[in-house]
Amino acid sequence: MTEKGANASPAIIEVQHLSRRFDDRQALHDLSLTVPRGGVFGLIGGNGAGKTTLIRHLLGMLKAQQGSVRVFGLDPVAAPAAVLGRIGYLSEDRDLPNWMRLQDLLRYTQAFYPAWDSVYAEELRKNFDLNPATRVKSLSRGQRARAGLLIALAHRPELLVLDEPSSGLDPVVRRDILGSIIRTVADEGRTVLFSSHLLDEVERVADRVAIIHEGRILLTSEMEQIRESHRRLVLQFRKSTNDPPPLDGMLDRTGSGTEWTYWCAGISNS
Amino acid sequence: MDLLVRGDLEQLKQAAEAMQARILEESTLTLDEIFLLRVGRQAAEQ
Amino acid sequence: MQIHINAQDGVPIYLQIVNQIRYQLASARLKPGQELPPIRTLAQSLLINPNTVARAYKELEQAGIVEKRRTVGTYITARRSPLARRERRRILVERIDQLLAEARQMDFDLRDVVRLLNVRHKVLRKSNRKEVGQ
Repeated sequence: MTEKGANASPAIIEVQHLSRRFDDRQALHDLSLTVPRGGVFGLIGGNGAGKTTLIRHLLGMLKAQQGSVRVFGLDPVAAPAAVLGRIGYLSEDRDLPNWMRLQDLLRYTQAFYPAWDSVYAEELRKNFDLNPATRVKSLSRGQRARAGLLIALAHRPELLVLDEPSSGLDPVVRRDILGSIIRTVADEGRTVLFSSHLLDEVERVADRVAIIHEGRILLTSEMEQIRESHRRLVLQFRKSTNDPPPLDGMLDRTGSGTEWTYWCAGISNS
Repeated sequence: MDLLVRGDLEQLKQAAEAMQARILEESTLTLDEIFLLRVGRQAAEQ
Repeated sequence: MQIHINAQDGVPIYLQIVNQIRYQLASARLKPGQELPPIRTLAQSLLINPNTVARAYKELEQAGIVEKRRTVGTYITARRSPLARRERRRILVERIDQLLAEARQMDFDLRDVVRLLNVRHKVLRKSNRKEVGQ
């Protein structure tokens, strides 16, 4: 592989040995993660697993205490303008300035992004049924999410980052969000990173996933490979047993007597 | 981190046979189930 | 073409698409020569990753069920190749195995099953004729 400077890196996100401590709590432990360019990457984990903390590092909102973070080959803390101008971001709490009217918010945001596409923004506004004269504070939860999504999409970012985009939303708005993810990768070959605890959504749209738990990556792989390598087997033994032998790659087993269910992750290569 | 290997199902079947067990059912898992298994095992190991 | 995805039933999504297209072709809801929706369009309407649709189309192509025509699109194979016939036979055998297993579980023997098959065949033929006549 040839190196043609930072931007030629095949990975759009490269996190190495990242650790983060908040007062008495270790939020990220020696976490490494690579997100390749193109496609949809799903970051899955429960509340407090470290998803948002990791994302805040990618956006340069937190500085790595240990380890390194590179987005487009750049350090987001050292080069915030170069990184953030190419990212579209929707935060979990969808924080938007409440006092503004939507039309003012769009004008205001547009000024930050040279690549802002007014035609696309207007198309999204119509699709999302957003009234430009409405004040942000009087938007419903769903309309607020759509407004945030519009802002994240309208400059056609190379990397779209969505933190729990569907949480607390009705199915109609969730549909818009999934549709935007698919459109982003299908029409333009861009990269989407989204975190979620709604695993059926992740299963629908992600090419790759990482499972994050208590600040560590437990597993990261292509979705297809994860699906193909995990199996449930129901085994019948000749004799009744309380302690059937383990299988290689076994994650769990339950049962009694002669019938036991095994959950397996194939056979570990390491 | 586990490295996943394709074509391991055959090996699992052979392993089951070696334990003198018969496979009654065999199925893939949803991402939900995989997540719970992985996170559950992590919790159990601590 | 109507496809329904259930992300919670444990069957990989690409396989759900493959199976439904196979079934719709076998039951003549899809016709030889018919065009399938472009990958992007189907991905958008099903809200699934475009690569998943591409994988399903590739599997169908390898099984001889669909063919890509240069840049214009993906079509159900016009003439039924021997492969397609083998495929239909495979689906049928799968269903027969299921039927026989269930019949045995409910204490019907093979003679009962064959007799019922004949009865149902006549009933269905009659109701088909009625529908056509209306």
